[in-house]
Amino acid sequence: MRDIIFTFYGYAVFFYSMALMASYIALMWLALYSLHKRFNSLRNLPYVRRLLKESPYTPGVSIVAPAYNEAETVVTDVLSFLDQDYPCFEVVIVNDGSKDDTLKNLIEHFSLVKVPYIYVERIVAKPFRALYRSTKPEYGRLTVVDKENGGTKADAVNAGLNVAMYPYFVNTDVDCILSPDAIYNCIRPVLEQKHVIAVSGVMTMSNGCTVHEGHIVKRAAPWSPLPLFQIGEYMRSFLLGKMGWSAINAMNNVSGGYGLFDKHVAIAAGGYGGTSFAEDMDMLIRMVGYCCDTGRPYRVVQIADTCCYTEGPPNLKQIIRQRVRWGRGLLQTFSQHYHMMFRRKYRQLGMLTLPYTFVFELLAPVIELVGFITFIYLILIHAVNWTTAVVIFALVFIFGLLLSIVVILYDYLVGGSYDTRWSYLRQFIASIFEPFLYHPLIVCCSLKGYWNYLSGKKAVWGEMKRKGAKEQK
Amino acid sequence: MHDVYFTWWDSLRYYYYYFEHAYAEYAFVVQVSYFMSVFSVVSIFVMFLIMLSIWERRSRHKRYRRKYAKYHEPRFEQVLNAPTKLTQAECHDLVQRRPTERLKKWQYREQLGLITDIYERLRQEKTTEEVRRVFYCNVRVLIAYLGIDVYMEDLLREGVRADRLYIMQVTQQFHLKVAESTLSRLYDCKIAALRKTVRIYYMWMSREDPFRFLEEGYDNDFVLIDTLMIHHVFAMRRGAGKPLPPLLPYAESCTDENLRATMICEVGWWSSDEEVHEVKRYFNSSNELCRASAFSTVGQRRYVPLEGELIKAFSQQTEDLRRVVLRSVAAIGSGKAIDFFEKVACQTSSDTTRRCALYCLWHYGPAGKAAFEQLRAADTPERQQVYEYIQMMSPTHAATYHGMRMQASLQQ
Repeated sequence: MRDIIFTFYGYAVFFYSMALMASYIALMWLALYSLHKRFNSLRNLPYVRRLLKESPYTPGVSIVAPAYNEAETVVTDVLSFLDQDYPCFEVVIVNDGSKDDTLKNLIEHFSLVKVPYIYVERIVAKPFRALYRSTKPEYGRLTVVDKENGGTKADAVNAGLNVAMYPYFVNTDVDCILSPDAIYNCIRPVLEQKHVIAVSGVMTMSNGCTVHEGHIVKRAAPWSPLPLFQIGEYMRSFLLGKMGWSAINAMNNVSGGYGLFDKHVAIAAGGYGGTSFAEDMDMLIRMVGYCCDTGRPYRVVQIADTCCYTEGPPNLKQIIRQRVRWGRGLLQTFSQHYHMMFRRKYRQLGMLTLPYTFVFELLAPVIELVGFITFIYLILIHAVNWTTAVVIFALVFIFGLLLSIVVILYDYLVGGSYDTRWSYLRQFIASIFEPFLYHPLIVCCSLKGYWNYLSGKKAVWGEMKRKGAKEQK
Repeated sequence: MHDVYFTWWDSLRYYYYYFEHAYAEYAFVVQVSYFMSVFSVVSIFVMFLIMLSIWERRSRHKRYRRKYAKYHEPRFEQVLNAPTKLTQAECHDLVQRRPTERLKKWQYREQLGLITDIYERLRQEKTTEEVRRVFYCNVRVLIAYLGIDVYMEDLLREGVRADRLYIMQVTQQFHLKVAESTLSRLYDCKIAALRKTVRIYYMWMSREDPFRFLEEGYDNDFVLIDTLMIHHVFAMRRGAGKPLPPLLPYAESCTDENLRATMICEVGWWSSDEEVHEVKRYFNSSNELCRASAFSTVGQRRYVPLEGELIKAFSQQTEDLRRVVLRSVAAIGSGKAIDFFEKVACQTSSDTTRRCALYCLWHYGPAGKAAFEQLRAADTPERQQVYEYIQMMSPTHAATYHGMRMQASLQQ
């Protein structure tokens, strides 16, 4: 009986792995197709830039960024927001009840004054306190919203949306440094295609980069292994996963770090779930759900341009906290939207992406854990066929390496994350060690996140200590 | 005697069979895993090769661009900054191009890229008149002198889709002329983006029947960039003194609502007063976008004779459109709409519309400000914040606010 169970289990895991690999190969090709399309789109950038600058029809964009205890980096980052090379935008910073000097620093540096404001709560958020605007004309695009702490980023973004003026908004974090053409890159799909409701830009880490007055002046890979591993993970997520799904309009997530959304659809879909810990995925699923429910055509696009640099969690403790939160958020999102799965009404999202995410992302840590326990058990009873084990291990490892190389190549092709070849080499070396050092950690964090959610443990967003990027002398 | 029993080819075959049959005796799972591993290794190797070749090519292009820019950039700037139109000989004196054999395509591309960068940088420093009178001519002379125009035509004829699109955009950017025979193959091209760009170019350049493609419509491919390009091409034609046709007939005939709305808006920019007057027929359109465009057009043109019609249409609109009407009436600025704003501010059920009416009143000249103060004095203490807010809106923010509302009404 035991042998039958193990044989059945072995085949189940084998076919699961093969299906996963096949899906990755399909995503590789789809991502390549998306990249090809991108190269075929508006190539003459100065021309399009001038069109946007001179046209009265240029769509306006609000950058909405919540800040919670970000006193260290808030001024630099807001400067990078304000320096966007785009003719029609505003910056809305939401001070989410910070306990440190975030608001004070903003007021002092940007000469803000409190202005009377009629706050219309189109989406529910924690109580609004005040609205600040600058007395200096050069900061005329800046608006700071002060509100009570809502415990989640989603709540803060909702408050920002209630104040935002333009028909499109960018959701980003205040610890992010935006590239000067971030909005411009994201608005291109809106210009070129119909019915675009969300555009996701590539995000990477600012660790290792050199910053001057809120701008990245040199892009290099960090020396520390943890951020390197995370960069590899981001590359895979954006340039392979999202880029691939985007080719068939089946994206299920636009990163909370940087994404452009149609404000009208976002508000109609109810805004961000105020209690959600994966507010980005939750929002997009609800937006797509809203479009499908109302029979409205939609497109969600991933672009290949690096728009945003964020400072990754610098130490193990903070990575663990972040990933536990993500794990919890994933399960929470699924528990809210599982009804969309396998329903034709929800098109690609319901028939393809959500089931895929459920089987290959949500269940993956559980399957890995069960596999690990089974392997230990088989070792103990001397039932492991070592030749088979080595071949399968080699396959998993080499295939993982192949994925990393493909995304590094894609990244290089689009002129992505780094300025030097040595940085790419460092990234490649990191990808050799990632499966042994980083991946197990992420699996454990996800499992802890699931456990926390299922056991009803109270969740807190938590505070992220920032070092601040390396400033150029 | 040289008997060779085991050649390199045999070694290759030996290892091929060795790899092919390794794990042949094992279970299906192992064989598949083994096959996938070998596939992955080969793919990794190929990826490395591709990456190396791209690296090498990019470095070569970058080196060329750097060297080329070092020598030519100041010279190109001289040509583009010349106060008068240059001849080929004068251009030669300034650039002093070394006589070389025919360049490779990528070298032309790099040269064109450099000129594009310099062009955009210098263009910002020049007045519209300078750009029109001298700048475009000298760019054309420079491009012809370097032989890039031939390269561009070649690419338009035989290039891949991306190249052709790029060349068409450069052509529009520099106001270059392209042979009709080259373009005629692209008017009905299957690639929508390219087809539309070529048709826009035709609108700009053709003297024969420039707007015939506008009559044919946009085959439901109309996107926002087309709005931007149409506006740009109309502006260029107007700037060059070329006549524009009446636009409302196009708005009438097209099936795409966005294109129709664009045409109605363009009436406000370029058409005669008589045509602006005709826009009133869209005040009762069943399409909200067209109505919004019509209201905005009247405001944008500050066309006083339709102010009364706008005010009359106010009550039949949705709240969003009512605000568009309010802003248009304010933009007309005849000074006769104070009662209208006051009435709306007092009677509307929507706080947002009320705020908009008060905002319009505040920006409606001294009489409007006085009316605003009167309303403020009569209002309750709880609602004073609205008045204070409107008064404190910084000029930048107020301008943004106004611009945004116009856009929102058009885009949504």
